[in-house]
Amino acid sequence: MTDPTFVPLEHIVASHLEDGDGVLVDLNTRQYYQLNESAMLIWSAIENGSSLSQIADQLTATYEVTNERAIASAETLFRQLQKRKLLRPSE
Amino acid sequence: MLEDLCFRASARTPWGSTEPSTSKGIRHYSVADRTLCFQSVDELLDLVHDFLSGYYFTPANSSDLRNQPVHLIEIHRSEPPAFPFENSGFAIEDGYCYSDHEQIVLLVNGSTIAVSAPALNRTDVWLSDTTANRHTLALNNVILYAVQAALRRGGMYQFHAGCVLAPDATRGMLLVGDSGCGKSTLTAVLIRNGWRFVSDDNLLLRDTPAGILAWALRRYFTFAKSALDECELRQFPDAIGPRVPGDRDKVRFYARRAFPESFVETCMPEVILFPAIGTEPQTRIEPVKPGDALARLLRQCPWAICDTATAPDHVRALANLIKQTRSYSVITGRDVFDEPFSIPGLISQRIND
Repeated sequence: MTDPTFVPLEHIVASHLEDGDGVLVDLNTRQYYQLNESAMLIWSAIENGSSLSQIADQLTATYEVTNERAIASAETLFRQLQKRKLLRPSE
Repeated sequence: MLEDLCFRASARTPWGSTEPSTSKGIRHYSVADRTLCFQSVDELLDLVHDFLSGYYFTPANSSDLRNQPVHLIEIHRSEPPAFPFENSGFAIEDGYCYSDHEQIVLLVNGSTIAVSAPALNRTDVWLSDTTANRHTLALNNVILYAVQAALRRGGMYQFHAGCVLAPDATRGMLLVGDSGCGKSTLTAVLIRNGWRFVSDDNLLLRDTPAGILAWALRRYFTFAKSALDECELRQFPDAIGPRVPGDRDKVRFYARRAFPESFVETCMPEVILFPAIGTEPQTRIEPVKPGDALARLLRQCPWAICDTATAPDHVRALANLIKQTRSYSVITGRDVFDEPFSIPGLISQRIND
């Protein structure tokens, strides 16, 4: 079973705010996205090079969710971020 | 294919003359510890001087600028060159912008502004020669775009916001919102109640090691004529200036003439208010989450996203501003005018809860 990792694309500027939320600015499309606390936790883990299973571990340690639910949530966010060209799979 | 990747800007003949002058002068102006150097013929430098006199730019002596980075803005009367770009560009207010990761080229009111890569500290302006585009309002707009871009490359970000300080406060309160949201009126109500002011609508933000600082940029306020009555400002006739060009309902108001002891050149903000005009009797003040507040700031600062060379630092500065402040929305009620003396207390009480 693969354990994918992703990297943010270089044209993204991420702002981490003190309540855990964050904002991503896409300099190519000139759009910005607000991320809630859990999404920003996943984004921070992506920035740190964490794999899907490591991100799921962080989510289960932070929130009361099962590992399956954490993986599903992270995969959903990966798809949304990839669709908007905010990150790519790590090579 | 080369034609597809290039555009040639609209100015075709020298501005105001068929004999371009080769004698160019230089004038320096400083604001908030940054210096801009303008190079052009005297008549255009006079135009720049008149424009900058409405802002807190002060003429600087070149001999006083040792070791200071200076951004050169050269204003040409010749035809602009062709600029190759791979991107199709995007519309901006009054014009169009082409951008790559280092430089931007703006077509504004028929004129062309090329802002070079930050390391070059250089902006070139080719003024349009058409009658409409030589109108003072249009030329001032072009100069403003060039100045703002030059300042961004020096880490100074123009920001449409008011800034006031409570009577005993050492830190400031920003009032942020679209034109017509009540920034100037609320600023006037607060100043009439003893608050001090930096500006009603035009600031520079600077990211420093100590935090984000707000500096006064424009010397005058702009008020709807009705606001002069509502805020009882007509008792200061010396402070009331001419009509705002392009807006027959607004006049300039030189607040320092009316409240000379209340001006503050710069301060560190600790609160952001997002005013909006409501219809209820009472003013409501509600907290705004940091993410929502940053999104609102980004909407107010399109260059934080569009000027790719400065965008990362610009976005970081806005995020740092959010981190050092608390944000609130203020839905002003009729009490702003019915009981104006109660509003400062209401704001102070709510943000200190």
